[in-house]
Amino acid sequence: MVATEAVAQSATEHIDLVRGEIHKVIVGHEEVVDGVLNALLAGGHVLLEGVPGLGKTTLLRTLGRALHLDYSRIQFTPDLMPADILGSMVMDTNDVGAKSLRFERGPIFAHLLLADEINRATPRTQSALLEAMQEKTVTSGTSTHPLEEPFLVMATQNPLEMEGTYPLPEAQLDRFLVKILVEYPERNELTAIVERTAVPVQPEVNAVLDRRQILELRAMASKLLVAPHVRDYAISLVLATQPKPGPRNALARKYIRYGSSPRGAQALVFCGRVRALMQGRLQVSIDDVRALALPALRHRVILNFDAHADNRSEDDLLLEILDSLPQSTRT
Amino acid sequence: MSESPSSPGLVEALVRSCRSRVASQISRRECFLASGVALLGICSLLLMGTRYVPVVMLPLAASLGAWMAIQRWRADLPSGYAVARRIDRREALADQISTAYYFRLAETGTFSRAVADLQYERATRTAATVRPATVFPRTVPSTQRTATALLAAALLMFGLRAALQSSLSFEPPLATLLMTSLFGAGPEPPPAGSTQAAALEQGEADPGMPEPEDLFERPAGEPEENDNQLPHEAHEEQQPQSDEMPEVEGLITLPLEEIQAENAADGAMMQGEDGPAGEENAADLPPDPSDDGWDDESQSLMDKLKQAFANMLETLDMASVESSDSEQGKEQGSGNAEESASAGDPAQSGEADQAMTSQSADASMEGGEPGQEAGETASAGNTSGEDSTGEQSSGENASAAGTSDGSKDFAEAEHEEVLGALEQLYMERAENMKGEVTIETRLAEQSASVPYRQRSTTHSDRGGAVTRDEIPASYRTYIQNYFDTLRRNTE
Repeated sequence: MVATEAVAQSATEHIDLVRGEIHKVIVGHEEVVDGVLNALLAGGHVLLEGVPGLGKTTLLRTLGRALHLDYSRIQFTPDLMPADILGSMVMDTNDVGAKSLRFERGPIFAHLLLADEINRATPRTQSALLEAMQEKTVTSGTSTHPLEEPFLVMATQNPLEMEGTYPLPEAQLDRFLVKILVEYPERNELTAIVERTAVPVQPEVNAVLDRRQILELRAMASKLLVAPHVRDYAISLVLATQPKPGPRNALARKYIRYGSSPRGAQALVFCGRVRALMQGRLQVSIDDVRALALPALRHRVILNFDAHADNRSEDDLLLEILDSLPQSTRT
Repeated sequence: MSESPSSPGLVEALVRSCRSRVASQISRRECFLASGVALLGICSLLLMGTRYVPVVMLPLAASLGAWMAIQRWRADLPSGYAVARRIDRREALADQISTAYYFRLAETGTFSRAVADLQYERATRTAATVRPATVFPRTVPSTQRTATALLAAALLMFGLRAALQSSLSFEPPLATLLMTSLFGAGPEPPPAGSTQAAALEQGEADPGMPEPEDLFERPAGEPEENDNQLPHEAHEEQQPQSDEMPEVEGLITLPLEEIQAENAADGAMMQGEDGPAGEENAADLPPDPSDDGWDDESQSLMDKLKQAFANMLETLDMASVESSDSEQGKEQGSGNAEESASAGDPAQSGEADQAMTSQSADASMEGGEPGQEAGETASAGNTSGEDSTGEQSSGENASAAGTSDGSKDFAEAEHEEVLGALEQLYMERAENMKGEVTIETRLAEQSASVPYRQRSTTHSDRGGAVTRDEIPASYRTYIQNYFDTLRRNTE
């Protein structure tokens, strides 16, 4: 695809179309919608966290309807097994009565996978997603089956009702490109929600983007320019979250047990490119990195006991680190 | 994409223009810094005069300022890329100019040249709307204010000097000029006809600055003072003109060889002659204001020197005669000597040590004449620093210093002290000692006691790490409250 002004402009318009279709159903939550679209176009996965009833599942279902993509949903329960997600070998009998083993694909073979309440499944089942999320393949027995791009896992989890849940391990959390917190709607948003759901006819969501267009948008986003000072800022931000000696790591040494992995810096740059494309720019800015610091890093930072004792959250610490991180002016 | 990457475009022109503005601003700032450093040197010279700040400091200060300015200019001059980032930040351009500037000059790498050209095209349109004067407006650097203040201070001090002096001299400090002009020459007015002596005294502190009255009364034909003269040269030139300073001169210019010859001749004679004579001289001197300072100090110093020589000689004479009596006294008075030494001034411990033996002898010999004299010598030695007039009679000085009296006491006391420290050490360490201890004692009956204390095992933290999953969810609130309480108590 040759980058021209028209191509860049149409990319932004396509993204705006998807936004518009989603907002036919979802009221407010612009940051959540943009975050999910960002993860889709950046080639990552998204973890939504919020109390029940805020529209997490509805949002992801609406996104699936707005895109010409295969969509599947898995309700995670404690008795869910990996084979229930990945698929399993089944005995197949042909017309002449001969029997053979055939791999029956599980619901993970879709473009959009909604893993609802992912923390209710056992770690064994959660780990079944690791390979699919990272390598985009599924291995069953001795055969490996590739997943078709785009592949987006949209997981939700409930911060309440911790009884009978299995918190996602750090390795699993690190696979999610962004973690988005779904907050309560404002008063005017709540009014619009009530009015919109009171009518018997629900709004119809049209599929405005197909698989090819999404892949083109991905390719376009990956070509956006990241200047060295923006890249250095993202790296400095990730390094500042790590509890190691240094003048900029005092806060991390005090409150953070494990800092962000290199995937955090990658997430900042990938998501920064998509954010720039969504805003019609061809270059990533430091503001993009700052805006994406919380969703890209909050689940990659593990706090220590002092932070819990002091009621410090990941967002608090990241905002404080952002404030203390200077935007270098010299080269 | 209308321009080739090598041809300079609007973005580069904008960056170049802004960079030149930044460079000029840094240049102005550093020029004012260099001027400020040079002005600081001038102000120091005007304030303290060439007496304390040599003239060579001026070019040094100017050179230092220039060097600092050049170094700072080179360090602070930003690159074009840095200037482009400043433009982006000040104009909120989302790093458009800096990205275009960087990728325009960058070699082909991992980026798409087509996207870079497209982005540069957009940046060119943006750069056309940016005015360098808006992005980098002319501001007054802080160093300019500092340099202006220093310039004003220098002018003020220069004006003060010009107003206080008829012939401008930079030699005396400004404070001296102000004190002279505000409070006059000294506490007592100089006697009539002694203008030259007053000028001499003034020259001691301010050789380059004559009295204002003198300046006005100076005949027209009299040559001006040579400002380039050093203070002691001016002093020497003016000394023959003063008629009323013979005694002072005699006291000041007494050669050291003469003093040593006199002291070496006869200590007793010198004590009998010089002490009272010195006092008489000091007493007979008129209350000349010039005697208040250096002359009095030198006289008292010489008195002390003479007295010290006399004491030393007398001690040597008396030592052979009084050795037997002193030995008897020291046996009984060693305790008193220690007390007096410990109660004395720590700064004079050396003197106190010398006096200790003589005081002990004094304590033992009831009314003994030599011991009494020795005690007086010790007290005189202790107070000699305070008594600058030399009122104590040198005939009373007699000391037993230099003898070996009391050395045995010291040795025994040190021995006992060591034994005491050893005992204390044993008692303190007895709690922590393990194993067997062998103590060699004399044949006399000895006893050693070690305090018994019940010891129990101590708890040691093994440093186990607490992970998130090890803390049950039901206990987290309790543990958090515990740490909150703990922290609150600590704070």
